[in-house]
Order: sequence, then structure tokens, then C-alpha cells
Amino acid sequence: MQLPWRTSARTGLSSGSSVVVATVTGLLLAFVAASAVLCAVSTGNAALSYQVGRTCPQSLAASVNGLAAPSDQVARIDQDAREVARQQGFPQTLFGAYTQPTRLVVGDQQTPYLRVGYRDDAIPNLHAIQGGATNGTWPARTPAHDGHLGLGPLGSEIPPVTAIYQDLTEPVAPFWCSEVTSVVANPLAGDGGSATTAFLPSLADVARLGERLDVSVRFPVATPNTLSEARELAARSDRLADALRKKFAADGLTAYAPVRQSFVAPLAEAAKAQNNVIAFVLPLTAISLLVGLVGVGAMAAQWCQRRQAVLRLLWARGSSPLALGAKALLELVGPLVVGAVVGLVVARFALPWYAPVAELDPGTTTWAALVVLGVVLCAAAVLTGTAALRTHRMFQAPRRRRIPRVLRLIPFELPVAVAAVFSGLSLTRSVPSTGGATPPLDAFALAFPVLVVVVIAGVAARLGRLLLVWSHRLNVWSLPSVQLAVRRLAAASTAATGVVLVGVLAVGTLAVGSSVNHAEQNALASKSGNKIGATTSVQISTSFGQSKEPLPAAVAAHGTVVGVVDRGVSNMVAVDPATFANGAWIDPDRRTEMLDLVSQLGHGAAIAVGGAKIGSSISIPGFAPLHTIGQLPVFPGMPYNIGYVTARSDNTTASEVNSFFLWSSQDSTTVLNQLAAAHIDHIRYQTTDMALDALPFYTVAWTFGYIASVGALLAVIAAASLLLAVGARRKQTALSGALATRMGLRPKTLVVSHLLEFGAVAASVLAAGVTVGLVVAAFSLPRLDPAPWLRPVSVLPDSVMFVLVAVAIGLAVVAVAGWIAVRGVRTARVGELIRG
Amino acid sequence: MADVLAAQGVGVDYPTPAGAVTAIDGVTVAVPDQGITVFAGPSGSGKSTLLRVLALVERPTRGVVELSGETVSTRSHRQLRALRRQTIALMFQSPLENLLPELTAAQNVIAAAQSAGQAPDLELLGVVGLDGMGDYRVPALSGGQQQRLALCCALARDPKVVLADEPTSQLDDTSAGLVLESLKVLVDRGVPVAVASHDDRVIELADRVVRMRSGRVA
Repeated sequence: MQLPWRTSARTGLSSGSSVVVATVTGLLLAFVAASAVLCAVSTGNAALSYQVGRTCPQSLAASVNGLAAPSDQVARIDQDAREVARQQGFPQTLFGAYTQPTRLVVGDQQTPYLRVGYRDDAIPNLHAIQGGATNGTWPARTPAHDGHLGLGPLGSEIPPVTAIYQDLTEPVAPFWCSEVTSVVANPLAGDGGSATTAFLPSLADVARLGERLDVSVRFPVATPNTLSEARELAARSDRLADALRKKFAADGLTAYAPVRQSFVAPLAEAAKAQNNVIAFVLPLTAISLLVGLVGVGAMAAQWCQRRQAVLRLLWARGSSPLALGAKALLELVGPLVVGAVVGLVVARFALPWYAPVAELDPGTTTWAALVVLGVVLCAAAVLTGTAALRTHRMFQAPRRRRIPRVLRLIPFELPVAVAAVFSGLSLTRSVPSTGGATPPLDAFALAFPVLVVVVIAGVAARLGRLLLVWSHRLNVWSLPSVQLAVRRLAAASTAATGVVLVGVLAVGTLAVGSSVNHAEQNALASKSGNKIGATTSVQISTSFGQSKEPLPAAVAAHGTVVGVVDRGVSNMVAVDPATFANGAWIDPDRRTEMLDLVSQLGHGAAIAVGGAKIGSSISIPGFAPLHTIGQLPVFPGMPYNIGYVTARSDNTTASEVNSFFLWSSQDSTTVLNQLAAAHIDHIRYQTTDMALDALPFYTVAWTFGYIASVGALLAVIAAASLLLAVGARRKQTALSGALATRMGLRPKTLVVSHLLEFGAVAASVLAAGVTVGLVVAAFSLPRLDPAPWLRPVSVLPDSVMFVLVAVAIGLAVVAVAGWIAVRGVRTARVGELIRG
Repeated sequence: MADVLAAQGVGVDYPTPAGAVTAIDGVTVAVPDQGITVFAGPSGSGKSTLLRVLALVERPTRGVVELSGETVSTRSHRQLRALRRQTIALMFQSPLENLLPELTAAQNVIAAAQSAGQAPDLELLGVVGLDGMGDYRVPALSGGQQQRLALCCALARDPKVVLADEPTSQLDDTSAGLVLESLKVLVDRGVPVAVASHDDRVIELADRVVRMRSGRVA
């Protein structure tokens, strides 16, 4: 290799600005490529984690739930299940068999309703409060207490009671989550409707009773942390299910042992969420990489300009354009690769900032590194090719005709605008206005906000360029700082409009991404809170609710009792104004208004919610006439979001309100324990976490969170480009400033002119970027709402802080740019500058 | 005396928005394989353009260029590069345009030799009066020293002909004198030299002068 090429790497390092530009270019390309891979994997695994969190761990694999199996077949089911499970690589089987709720005869009395059953490993997972020997019957505390059962004989059919265990209450431990209907009694279900289980030492003891038994077979597995682990588990589970069905069919047990796979749908939803994010992120990443590669080409072109003399000499000595392209590569590839490595590392460690926190599949970072390597190779090819082509055009090609004027008039924004229109039409397709399946997310529709931002960025840059071309007519020498600022901008119009283009794209993307991300999270919280009414909502006994008894202190501190009438149309929520704020979920944006109205309830006063009629004498069947004191668009817990809110003290007859709920701001475990301790009967708890399928909300939030991170990256590029451009012109700026001040221009005027120059660019970027970002986000949000039938609809969150932060950062960049620009003027030695 | 380079009816036009501008037209000249040939004339007479055409770095719009009697101006870019590599050494007007600023003087000579497939001979530095300055970086050399180094690089390539464009225009009298001495060394070594210049000192040195005016041979 000839000497000039051998020393290229060292030569490349001698130009500070080239090193910085190449390093930053490599960093950005690598970050975009790696972050896309990492985000896609992380999103899928986060979606899986969400689905796994909502699923009983023992139902991740195939399971068997049979009803009324003959007792003489139960042992066969058990044996077949274990044999097949062993063959299919599932080492653990949990078999359970339960009678229907029944009453045992003990002496001359009957016990309360209870089930009699067996489950593998049941005893170690129960807490004995009396006795403890494992060779007898273990009934729960409540039926034992109610039926006056103690340790000792329990009749001839089943072993004597050797322990009494603490009642199992919801939320149950993971071991019992698949057996809830058999082990947790619903005290409000009526006699025989629900019962706990008295556990016997062996399956044979249960079978000997001769009753038909409900069978439960579970195959516990390790919880999958990644989609690939989940898919592998699903494949194994498929094989297990097929083998079980074949075995049961061969033994004539199919009717009593149906095999289910309840995790198939949740896994598919998680995979779909990942695919949706990929479908959106991939094109955005491809476009970003293309833009990045265009930047690499621009860097190569700039290198050719800067090294033109050397290139001409080497070419004149016989080097080919391709060899000269290789020289560009050798000079710039070092910083490019260093930047790429840094970009990969930053993408990996900054993952929690732009993607949901989740485990990564083994090898994900390696895959990301390979993608980055591919991108770097593409960048190297573009760098070499551009430099070679540029050299060919500079020294060899005949002088070309300029691009036909008509082609230069066609703006690139046009095809993007067309795409935005079609994307917008896709976004505005009608969605169900009533409850039902979440509409599928359309990746093309999701692209609408970003496409609009790209169009506006292009238009803003084009408009800026036109204004700068026209500015030569401007004559405001009476304001020299303004005139100087305009002339300098016009002289650097290419750089200025480039910064405007990238800046508007950055700020707009950041505004869209962060607005939609926050809005989706707020919408999920609001819709869940309004649907359930509180963090935890537990249905309590009507007798307690109607008794108007005060709640125990521990519960009352964070709770309130409400009555709900759900009639479809004339719905009602009866609240206790004094304690409402303790437990109800209240939309922060409406807190003052809502609490003010609630405090006025009583004596027939009512709040109309949603589309409910307002008036001084509202007649609701079964209730005294109401007069409305105000109207709210939404109210927590209001069925179908239409009805009236009244005070509980106004409802005096038993027929008026027949469902009562405790609304608490505490978690479900705490609330249920407190209710159990206070002996308040309760069933059916709900929490805001369980209210809605959050995955569609998360999918949109994660997608736009990633977009926000790309926007932040572009913002760094825009700011860095401006500062680099100012730094590159430092000498010219110092010379012109020094000459101007020596000719009488006041230093303050010079400083102001520089600040105006950069301020104009920053102001254009912020004004256009913030406006387009927030407007398009506000337009898109209601149409991106995964559950539009639930109030409140997604709206733009409070953006004041975003605007303030953006303005503050803009001012800081302007100040730094101004400082760089005027720094050289003070110490400039004009003679040295002119000599150059 | 044979001609190493010849131009037959050569013309060069440059397209501009206002229409084509003719830099040279109908020029027929030859560079013998010995001595110094000077293309003399005022600024804008076309002598630098003619030099570039003869150096095969610019294609003529009309006419042909011959190298050792063979027409070469119509050959492909690859063939022209090969010819420049093996036979021609071109010196640009500014001294720095003829050197690689990131290398030392000795490294420039080595690079020049390598570009022509020649073995580097650092003793050539002494021939042009730069002995002991091999480790000097290019920016540390004066304008005259840089131009002599450029001549040394040209010599290191062992060309059939050296073409120099205004080699003394940016130098003071003393430096210019030293450069002219180095040109004579080239000629004494049997390398024909063609120079485009309006410097009377260069014209005095010439074995043959071709005067140009307004793009034509006067």
C-alpha cells in the first residue's frame, strides 16, 4: 500500500472537526440500528411479562379441567396424566379432585356446605391453625367454626380431622390460583353455591366416597421471561396437549378430562404487540438510517472539498477515483467505528429510557452488534462510493448539465404528504363506539403523526430558504444588529435551512412522541380508574352497605362505601360525601370540580353524568325525585358513563340500591385482609390493574416512547450541527467581527446580532416543531385510543412543561453558539486573520 | 530531437451559463524530448490550459494530443491514468498543491516514487539542495523549499517529461533562482521540461519559447 494510504488513519485524526463529525455520525447510525433491535425485543418480552402477570402460573402449560368424573375413573386420569407428562418432559404434575359442595353428617348434625377433595402438595401450602398431622382431614376454619368441628372423628366415610387450616382468601397464593373456585368460598353466593375444601390425605380417600369429582390437572413450569422461551413452552405444551388427548381418548376418558391451553391467546397477543411495534419501528428506523447514510455521503463530499488539493495531486499522479475513495474511507473509518461502538453501548445501557424494562433474549445484544456492523459496512460503502464519484466528477467527468429546473421544483415533501394523507385516512377509520374487542392497531396509521412532522419540517426549511433568498432586499441598517444577523444567515443559508429541517423534525417528533406516550399512560390510568371507581373495588354484603355502619378505622382511612345501581339507562352511584375522597379514584384534572359537587350532595341533590338529563325534578323509578346541581362528563364507577350521583344518605329503602362496594386507594391484598379481619363479607374484588387489557395502550405508548427517543437524538444532532457550523466559521466570524468593531460597530451590537442570528433559527425550530408536534398529537390521540368507548377519551396532556423545557434548551444552545461566535472577536489579531 | 509531447489543432471550450468560453483554439505545438520549452504569455492567454491538456489531466474539446507520436487524448480514463503514472510529472502553481502536507519531505519523495512504481531515492533531496531536511514537515519549509521538494518529487517518479505551471509565481527572487537551478538539474539529467510562465527569468532559461495570446499561438 502506498504511503499516503498507509498514513491515512493518522492523517484523519489531524482534523478535529472531521473526527467529531465522523464519530457522531457513527454513534447516531449505530444507536438507531441497535435501539430498534433492542426495543423490538424488549417490547415483546415486556408484553409477555404483562400477559404472564395476568395469568395463573399453573395455567401457562396445558391443563385439564374435568367436571363430574366418575370416582372410579379419577385414578386412571391421574395415572395417564403423569405418564404422558413424564414422556413429554414435564417432571411435575399437580393432580386435584373435588366433590361438589356437600354437607357431611357428623353425629346427628350436618356440617356447613363444603367440598371434600385432594390435591398434590396441598397440605404444605395450607396454614394449620389447629393440629397439624398430615394423615387426616384438613377442613378450613370457617366451616369448622360454623359446624362446630374440632380435631377428631368426622364420620365413617372420611378420615378424622387432624388439623384446621386458615381460610384461603383472595388474592390467593400462586399455588392455589388455578383452584380458586374450589378453595375460596363466596359468602354471598347462597347455600351450596360456593364452598371451601376439606382436604383428605390421598386421592383414594376421596374416590372412596363414590361421588362424581371435579378434576384439575396442572403441569407447573418455569415462568418464561422472553417471547422465545414462551414460544418454546407453547410448542412443548402443544405436544403435551396432543399426547394427553390421545391417551385419554384411548382410555375412554375424553368426556371427563378435557384438555385446555389457556395461555395460547395471551401469548399470541404479546407476539402481536411486538409485531405492531416492529411494523412501525422498522420503517422509521429504515428512514432514519437512510437519512444517516445521506449524512455519511454529505460527510464524504465535504471531505473531498476539504482535501481537494491532495486529491488532485494523487489523481494527477495516476490514482483512480476508487483508490481516492478508499483514502476517504481510511481517513474517516476509525472515528466512524469508534462512534459506532459508543452508539451500541449507549443504546444498550440507555434501553430503559426508550423501551419498556424487560429481560432480553440471550444473544440480543450480539444481534444488535451484528446489525450495527452491517450498518457500518453500508456507511463505509457509501463513504467510499461518494468520495470516488465526487472525485470522478471533479477531475474526470465532462461538465454536466444542471438538473432540469422543473425537477428541482418538485419538493420531496410532496410524496411524504401523500403518504401522510393515506395514513390519516387509515387512522380515521371508524372504531367501535361500544365495548368490545380492541380494534387492531394499524402500523401505517400509527405513522401519521410522524409523516406530518416530516412534511412540516420540509416546508419550514423550504420557506426559510425562500425568505433568506428574498432577504437581500431587506434594508434595515437603522437596526444594524438585525441587518447583520439577516445577512449572515443568508450567507450561510444552506447550513441554516439544514439546521431548521433537522431541528423541526427533532422537536416535532419529540413533541409527538412524548405527548402520545404520556397520553396513553394517562388514558389507561383514567379509564381503569373510572371503570373500577378506585384502586381496589370490593363488592361487600348488601346488609353491611345498607346498614350504614361505619367502616373500621384502618379501612376508612383509605376507603369509602358506594352503592351502585346498574340498569343500563337510569344508573346511579350513591356516595358518602364525607369519605368519598378517601378511596375513590378522582381524575386529577377534575378533582376540584368533582369534590366541590360531591360535597353538595344530599337532600335529593344529584350530579348528572355523561348524557343524563338535568333538571329540578328528575324522576328515576324506585327513587325520590332528584334535582341536579351540576354536570360532569365522567364519574368513577358510573355504569356506561351515564346516570346520576346521589348521596347514600338519600337512599333509605332496601329496594333502591342492591350492590355496595368498598372503594379503596390501597392495594387489594391489604384491603381484603382488612375486610377479613373486620368480618365484613365480600366477594369479587377488582383493581385498576385488572380493569382493562392494557397491552394495546402499552403498544402505542412504547411505540411513541421510541419515537420520542429518536426525536431527542435528532435534537442533539440539530444542536450539535449548529454549534459545529458556528465553530467551523469561527475564523471568518472573528475576522468580520474584528474588522466591524474596528470600523465603529459597538461590541454590544455585534453580540446582539449573533444572538439574533441564532435566535431566529432556534425560534423557527421551536415554533414550527412544537406547534406541529402538539397539533398533530392532539388530532391523532382520540383516534389512537384503544378503548374509545370508555371515558375519558385520550387527550393531549398538559404540555406547558414540555414547551418551557424546549424553550430553555433552545435559549441555552443560542447562548453557547453566540459565545462561540464572539469569543474569537475579542482576541482577534486582524493581521493574522487576513494573512490566513 | 523527437517530440515527447505534441498538440495538434487543440481547442478547449468551457461551458458557462452565458455560453461556451474558448480557452484555447487551434493550438499546434510540440515539446521536444530535450531541454526546456516555455509557453509564455500574459494572464488569460491559455498557457495553463494548454499545459493541463498536454499533461493529460484535461481532455481537449477539439484536436488531439500525442505522446511519443501516439495519439493519447482519446483514450479511456484508466489508460490516461496509467500514462500519467508512468510518463508524466505535473507541477501545479502553488507549492503546497504539489505536496502531501501531512508527510515529511522524505515521505513525500517516497510517495511520489511509489505512485510511479519507482524505487524511492532519497539522495534526490541533495540534488535539489534539500539534503538534511528529509524529516522536516512540509509546513515547516519555505515556499522555495517546498517548490524544490516538488521538483524532487517529480524527479523521483522518473518521468518522460515534467510539466510545471508557473513554478516561480509565488516565490521571491532568491527562492525563484533556486527553483530555476533545480529545473536545470532536471534538464541536465535528461528530463525534458515544459513550463507555462510569464516570468522573464524562466523565459531566459528556455531552449524554446512558444508565445501565446488570447488562446492561440502568437
